Amino acid sequence: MQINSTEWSERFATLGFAGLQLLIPQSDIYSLEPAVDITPDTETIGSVGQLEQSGEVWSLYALSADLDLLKTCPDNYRIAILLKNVTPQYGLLCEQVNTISRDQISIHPIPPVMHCKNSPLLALALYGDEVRYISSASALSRLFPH
Amino acid sequence: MKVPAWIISITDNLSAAVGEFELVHVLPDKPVLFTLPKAPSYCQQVFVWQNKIIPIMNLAERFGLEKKTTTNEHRVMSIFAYRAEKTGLIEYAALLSNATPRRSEVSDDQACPLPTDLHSLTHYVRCCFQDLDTKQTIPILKLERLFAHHDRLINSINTL
Repeated sequence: MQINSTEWSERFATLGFAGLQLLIPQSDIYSLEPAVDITPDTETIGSVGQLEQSGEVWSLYALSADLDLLKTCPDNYRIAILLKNVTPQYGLLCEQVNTISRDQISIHPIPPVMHCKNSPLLALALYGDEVRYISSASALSRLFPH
Repeated sequence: MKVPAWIISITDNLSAAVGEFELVHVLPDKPVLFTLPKAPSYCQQVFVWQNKIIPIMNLAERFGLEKKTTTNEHRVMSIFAYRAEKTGLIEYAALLSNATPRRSEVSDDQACPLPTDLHSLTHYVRCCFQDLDTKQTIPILKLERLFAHHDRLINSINTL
């Protein structure tokens, strides 16, 4: 069953890390920054660093393929994605970022038997023969111990 | 009167059955699998079949049954169709089995109770029958329950 809804963003950012392809509505992306500008964050639990942008500080997180918080950022997570539409604001570190438009994918619900109360996944996307995972800045924030 | 059914080998000691038209396809090759983060351990992977995303359940793990020596690499993957309880729509899902499902014919005379050691299957079984060849007790699966939202199902069972 496909979800034919207009509620989904017309464009998504595809965040690639640890073999996972995570789709986030492009409207949730504030900016992309190189990870070289990261400074240590000693105050936020679970954060691997922080980044200052436009006079504001963004805590940064790194995730595994299981969407568990990593204690240290892998060397190949070189891009910081600063997210908006969520409080407190935060950023995610990843290896690659691409964009994809709504008409390049078909969106499917997560099979009911695979639902998990704490999952940040909102739906699945079929892109050619590949399955990708749709989330949002707000849904992903459940993973972080704010 | 006898009715056709498909018998699926779950472990060395347990098989389950579904109706004739619930089995729609046995995959000849292993498909490309995608693992969903945070999904239950017994149903973590999906694959693409005819532009549909199909979840795969390991029944032995789902019900904490005896671990089989057969590895997932050698398991047979079969696709089943069922009508979802909540929406009434036809949905598809896959089960892993130890062998290719075999067709059988079952009559009311073969009906028997669910064995006490399979109590964990109670809510997922329509009824049971005894296989005339193997003398095994074989539960007939309620696929619409098996592939329903687990937490929601537990809530509905608790309110009974």
